[in-house]
Amino acid sequence: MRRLHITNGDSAADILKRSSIPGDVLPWRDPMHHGPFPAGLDLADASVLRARYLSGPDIDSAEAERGFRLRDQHLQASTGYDTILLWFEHDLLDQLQILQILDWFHASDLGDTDLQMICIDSFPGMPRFRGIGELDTDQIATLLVQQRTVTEEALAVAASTWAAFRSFDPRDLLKCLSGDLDALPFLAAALWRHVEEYPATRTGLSRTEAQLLALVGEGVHSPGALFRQNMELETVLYIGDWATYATLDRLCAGGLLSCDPAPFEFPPVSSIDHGAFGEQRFELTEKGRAVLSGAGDAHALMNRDCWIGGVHLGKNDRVWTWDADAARFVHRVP
Amino acid sequence: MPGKPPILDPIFHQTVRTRLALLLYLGEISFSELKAALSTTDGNLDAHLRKLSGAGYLHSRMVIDGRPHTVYRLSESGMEAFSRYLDVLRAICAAAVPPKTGR
Repeated sequence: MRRLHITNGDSAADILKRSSIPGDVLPWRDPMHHGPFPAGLDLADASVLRARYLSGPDIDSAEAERGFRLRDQHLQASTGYDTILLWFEHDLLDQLQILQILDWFHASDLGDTDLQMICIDSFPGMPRFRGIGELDTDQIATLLVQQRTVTEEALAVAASTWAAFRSFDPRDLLKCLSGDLDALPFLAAALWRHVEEYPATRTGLSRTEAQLLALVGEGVHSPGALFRQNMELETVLYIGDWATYATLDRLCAGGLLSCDPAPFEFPPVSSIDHGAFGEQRFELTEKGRAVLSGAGDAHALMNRDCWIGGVHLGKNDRVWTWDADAARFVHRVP
Repeated sequence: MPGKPPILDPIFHQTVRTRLALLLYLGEISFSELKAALSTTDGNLDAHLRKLSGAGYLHSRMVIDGRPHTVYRLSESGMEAFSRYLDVLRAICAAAVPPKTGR
């Protein structure tokens, strides 16, 4: 019997490969919670866009594009397997990966292939469970009893939510959130966290930006410590080091933080060595203090030109902001 | 009367891919190492890797050892399929007994 395991990345994939569980393993390497996912692109075109977005001085764009192409080729061949087993967690990163993968299966003819999923938010004996990548080979094998058939309802929920995630209008996500997402039990909580990454209507900062600014204000100054302590502020961890450092970089560019020495350098955007990276120190600027105290907002300062799923937050565009108190998106005119 | 000839897996039975599969069978190897060993172009090697991946025969792993890069090897089903391919080749070689010439 041929079996394919699809995982959220290399950590879980490596554990599966070393375990006694038979089958091929396909890691889904894409931190999908940041960067572009515009509507209308098929899998191949979206992969080219993602590879270019994720590549930089330290990640070769040709290698990144090759990785996505080979991943997609394997996915397209996956209906030749007897069983496909998805291994995922409850966090935003994994839930978005589930949406993309299930959307693809929703539009595909599975034939006789049995599509199964293991999706967990806890593991016995691990009160601070973060993800499958923390388990050892024996622990991961115990999860097999939790595999469940992916239902037609789950495929339909994934397809409609994936379309909403890629929509240019973030209110489409709220429509999804007002519906029944129970077929994918961790999806709603993850998406509620996702909308908090839009700039807040009042402060102009995303939740991650606000958390990092506050941590610097509380006396946390090094990039490594900021990454670790920011993780502690998340109920469900999903943000990695790269995305954390990119956020710190944006806060510096917006003049809310200063870095000594300047400019802030971080891998893989820069090939800075480990020692020099750890010695960089952040401080609040006057503007940062003003935003943190509520005396000002960061809308104009952040000068955004970025994507969240299908939504572009552009320099000269009207920007979607998130009003958490009213639980609604507000279009802010520059 | 000779029996039905054994079937060689067409994914492996191609000049470059046989050598490529052998390298991937022996262990993890990077794209640049494969390219050097096979004396091929990026595009050509890409095409052959896609062929293997499209059969589910390729496994990749991201290695963060200084500059992040990917290493490849045959997947579990790729290892099994290549072992079968080698068995068939061995059987063909074993059956290829030179005819008696009568001299």
